[in-house]
Amino acid sequence: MAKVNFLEKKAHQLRTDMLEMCIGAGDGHVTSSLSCTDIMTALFYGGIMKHNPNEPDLEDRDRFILSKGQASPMLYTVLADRGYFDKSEMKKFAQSDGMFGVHLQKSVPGAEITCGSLGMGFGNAVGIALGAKLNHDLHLTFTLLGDGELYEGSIWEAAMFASHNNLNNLVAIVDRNYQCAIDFTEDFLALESIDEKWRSFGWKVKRVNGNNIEELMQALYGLNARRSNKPLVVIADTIKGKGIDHISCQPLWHGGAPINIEDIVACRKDLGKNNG
Amino acid sequence: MGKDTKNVILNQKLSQRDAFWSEVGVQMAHDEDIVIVVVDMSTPVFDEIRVKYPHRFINVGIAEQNAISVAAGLAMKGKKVFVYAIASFMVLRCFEQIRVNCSIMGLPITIVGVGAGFSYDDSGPTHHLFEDVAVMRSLPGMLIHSVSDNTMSKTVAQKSIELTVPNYVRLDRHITNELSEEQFDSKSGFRIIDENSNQDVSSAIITTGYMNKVAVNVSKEVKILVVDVYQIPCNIKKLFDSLIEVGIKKIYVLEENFLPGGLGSYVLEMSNPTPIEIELLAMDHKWVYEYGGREANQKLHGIDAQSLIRKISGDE
Repeated sequence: MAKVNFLEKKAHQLRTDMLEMCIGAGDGHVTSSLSCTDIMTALFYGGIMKHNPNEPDLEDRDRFILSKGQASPMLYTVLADRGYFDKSEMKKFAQSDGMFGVHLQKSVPGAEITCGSLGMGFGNAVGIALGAKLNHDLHLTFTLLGDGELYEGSIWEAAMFASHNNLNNLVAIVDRNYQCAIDFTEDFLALESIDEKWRSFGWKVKRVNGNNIEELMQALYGLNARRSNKPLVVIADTIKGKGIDHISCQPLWHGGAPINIEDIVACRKDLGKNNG
Repeated sequence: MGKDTKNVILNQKLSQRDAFWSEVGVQMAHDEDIVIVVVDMSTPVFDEIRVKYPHRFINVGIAEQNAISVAAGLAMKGKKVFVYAIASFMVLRCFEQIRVNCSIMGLPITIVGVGAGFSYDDSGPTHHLFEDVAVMRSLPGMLIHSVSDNTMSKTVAQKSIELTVPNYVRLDRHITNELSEEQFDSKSGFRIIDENSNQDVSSAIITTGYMNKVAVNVSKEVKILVVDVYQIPCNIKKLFDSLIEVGIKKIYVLEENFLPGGLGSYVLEMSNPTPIEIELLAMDHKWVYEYGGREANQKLHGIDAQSLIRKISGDE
């Protein structure tokens, strides 16, 4: 298992890189990206996912399907850092000479799907996992969902289908940051108990602190040796805007990047203070 | 052609649906990548397929959105995926999934919908479908196959397997007569139905799908050429050149669809400028709660054969 200390430092670096990329563009869902940074760090740096930036289309690679497409700034940051494309692309984020914008785009090396509308990527991941079974491929399919996505009925259509078809090669992670665009989930339409909902749909359920690398690594370690026919969902409790107190847990910071100088200074200061 | 498929096509009591899926079933025997995703839909042909290939016949239940999402994942794993449901639900319930997965991502999924136009004649407006041509052709990269007879249905099934673009196949629920010996040609996308070896005609009906049957009936009473547009986009320039060459001065574009965005709109968009006069004949833009069969419904909208004969022959 990769060292937790290294992963925590990596997560901080990724948060910093993502923030600067979004400040540069004046756009991007910063808080949605911050809540799932530790999850992506565990997957892409912790030895959980089998992937190779030099061969992004390798057939037996594990698939990572970002269903919460608004967190693409963090995925793009990870992919650049892992060498899927040159880091200079980050300076062109959402610019006329760049290759990606605010939401996820399949043409970017390492991105598996195009995603911006919620409730769709998860079904794609289910289809990929089923296709892998039909092809007798041994790779795993990981998919990262936002908790706000769970309001989409299509999520539950796919969840029911996945467990019925014994897709134990499928791992869903729910970024449970308790917020949607304008309010807290439990205030406007309660999602809890999420564990029971998934369990009743036939999934194996784990619940962890999604901003704790050690807990994530323990939950995701050894998946290939898992003895279960059920697909696995990890409910990862997170903080929306984790690492930057100035914008965390504030619903109206859902869809934006800091653009005025006071906010930019405050965000950088918070991130420096919360280093690793 | 497989023996079973040949039998199906020769049996005129069978439908476009049966011809289509029989051919897919034949191809499944030697192409292990073909997968059928159904939204709780059955046909007699499926009874055989689901026994022979249980892992490649996938019923997602009544869940159109999931059908497309799962199909997209399967396509990403190299599968040749057919999705099947009642057309009105298949096209409209999951239009955004089709837009993102098929059009934006360009995944080569074949979406098969049964029930174009008044196919489900007495089922009311939830099951009627007059908007599919309009909405599907609005998606960049989407190919539409509007099937007019069983031979066409079988051919489209064959072609769909090898397509590398998203593909919507609109099937009729009613039995349709064989229309023409002319071979399917994806480069032109249309065929001229020369039912009565019409000579010296000056007008033509351009139509699609089931309405070819109506148009052919018209052509038995009025000197008029019938053009079956079975693929959208088709080669409109070639179509107009062909009509001008035989002296056509007027075209009626006939469809069992709403006017906005349908076949008539497509022809008008693509034909300008042209020396040929064009008149669009389509459904009134309103929902239909009347019952009594397809012809009765068509009559209400003036697109049944008798109404058209009167109109075209100048009796009205």
